[in-house]
Amino acid sequence: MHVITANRLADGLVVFRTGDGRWSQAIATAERLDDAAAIDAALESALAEARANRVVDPYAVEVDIQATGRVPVPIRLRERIRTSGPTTGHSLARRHKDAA
Amino acid sequence: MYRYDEFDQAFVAERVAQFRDQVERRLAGDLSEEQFRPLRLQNGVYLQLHAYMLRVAVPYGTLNSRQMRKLAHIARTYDKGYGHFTTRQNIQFNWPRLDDVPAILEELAHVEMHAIQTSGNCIRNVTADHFAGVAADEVADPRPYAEILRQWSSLHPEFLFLPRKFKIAVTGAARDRAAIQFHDIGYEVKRNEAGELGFAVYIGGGQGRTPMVAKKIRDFLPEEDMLAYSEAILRVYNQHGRRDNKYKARIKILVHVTGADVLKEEIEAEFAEIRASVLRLPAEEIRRIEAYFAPPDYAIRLPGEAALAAARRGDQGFDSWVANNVAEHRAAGHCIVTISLKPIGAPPGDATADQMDALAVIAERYSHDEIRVSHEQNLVLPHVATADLKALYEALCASGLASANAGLITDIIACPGLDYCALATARSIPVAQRISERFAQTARQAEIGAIKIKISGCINACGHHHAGHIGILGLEKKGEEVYQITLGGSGDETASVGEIVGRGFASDDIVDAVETIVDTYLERRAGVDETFLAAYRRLGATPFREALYGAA
Repeated sequence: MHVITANRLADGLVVFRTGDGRWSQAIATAERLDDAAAIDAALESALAEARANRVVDPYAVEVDIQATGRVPVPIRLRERIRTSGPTTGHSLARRHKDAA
Repeated sequence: MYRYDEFDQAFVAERVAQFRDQVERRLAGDLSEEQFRPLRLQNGVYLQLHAYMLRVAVPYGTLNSRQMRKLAHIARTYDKGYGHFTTRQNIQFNWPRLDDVPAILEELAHVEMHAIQTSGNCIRNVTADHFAGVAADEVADPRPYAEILRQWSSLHPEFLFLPRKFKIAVTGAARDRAAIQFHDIGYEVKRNEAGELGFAVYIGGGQGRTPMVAKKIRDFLPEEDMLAYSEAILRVYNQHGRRDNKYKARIKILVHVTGADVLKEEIEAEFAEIRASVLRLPAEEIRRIEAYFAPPDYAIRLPGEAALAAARRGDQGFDSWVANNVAEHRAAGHCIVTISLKPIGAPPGDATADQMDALAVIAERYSHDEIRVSHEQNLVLPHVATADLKALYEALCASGLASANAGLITDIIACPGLDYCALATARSIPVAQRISERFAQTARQAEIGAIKIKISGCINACGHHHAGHIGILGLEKKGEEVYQITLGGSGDETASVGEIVGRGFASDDIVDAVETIVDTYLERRAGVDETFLAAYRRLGATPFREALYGAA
């Protein structure tokens, strides 16, 4: 299973493509893509979003939902950290001024 | 310290306006990411794992309190309330919004700072000995030369599109605290037999996936020829450096493949052509720049040695802080203080906005308004009266800045690693934190003595692992983080590249492996005066390898 991710242009934050073609910071709301054709179609529309300058560098990430039951969890460590944020350091305890 | 003249101020202001326009066009969709990427990189803006990152230049690592306050303000207003000091004497902000960056750059310009040439294939921020101008063993302050190189290399039209990035470091003492032999060009200020100032010149040092110690190509270059010689080196590199393969594009590869002797001939020929040009540095211009770096007017202070000795006897924490973090100063009654940004268990090189503000006050009060950033990710107060040490220590304690571990095993360099970096293959900060916790005990650190552990989260080696006495390189193997150990690297005047000791260790085992290496050193050293590096050079890798992997 895959989801499509990118960085948002204006603030650079990690976002995921939802089923209705929007971008969300929550991986739980990402559209889950089960086969190569679905991945290709979603990626194509994400690349159009990148060309329209809403996001930067979209790509597909392999995820697993077995472990948690509901929320997709990326397989690779790099993508897990990218999804959840740094595993240590000052940014854990400190919110960005704009964070909700 | 150096103050911008109208040229500096004008070009920094122009660049801010230019980049503001570029960001607006990017956000409006008039520039694509492919078009924008080189523009943002030229202004220090990266897109990292979680967000944009802004790298701000701190030329030769020198800051005043006004600048430090501005960095605190930026951290608080535009980021998450902290900044990260880097191994190239710069500072990085990990969470700025792209649409805020023009405002940040404008704020920086108000305090004579910028992010120009902190990224991209150009001449990067020129680094220098963090004890410059105050070290007791110094021939001359390297910073005036670094400043002249900065002016020459800033927006130099011929060198803005080099085959790859280019790093220059200058040291003013034979004892190299600036790791010049791991730079594209390293200058060591020295005097010839006639007593004239000049430089030993090294080229082709570097780390990354192909670590190389630089080759000396000139034993003495007259001071007036520094720019002409730099230009000659850059021209030869710009012409012959590979552009087809970024992994073979640094000057170190050119030096290695062509041979230092052949390359030197070509550099000398180019130098002979341009030596008498406008690039020749008039002595009065050098002295004019030097005047900016003149030592402050040190007030005559009571020596305070007796009071210091008494204070040390009365406070064990203060005593070990003085022993480790205070270095000899060239002026009587004064000393150089290293502020460790390596509290036990904390990420190396981070400072909070509140700490930066506190440091600004402390530097005004105790260090003639001057702060240095070291390539070891610490800060330095260069002008402290010995009589003020106890009061300074207490002020640092109040801000959590009094870690007494400079130069010891918990004074670890680490790159941001997979927690932040888009290129990383493994985490480095958590490994540094765990090693720091394992060796936290003061007495144990003192027993182990001077040792440098350096950790990189990928083969690009931003954490300088090749130059670590113990180097750790984080890799990804079969989806797991694996850490490879190198031993015997050094970034000082006896520069050497560390040797891989054997197969890598899982994340859960890496701290034990480091401890095994340290215990082996303690068992095998000739005496307490034999440092880890000296012992390794005497013993070789075998006893360490056997301790780690068993006898072959």
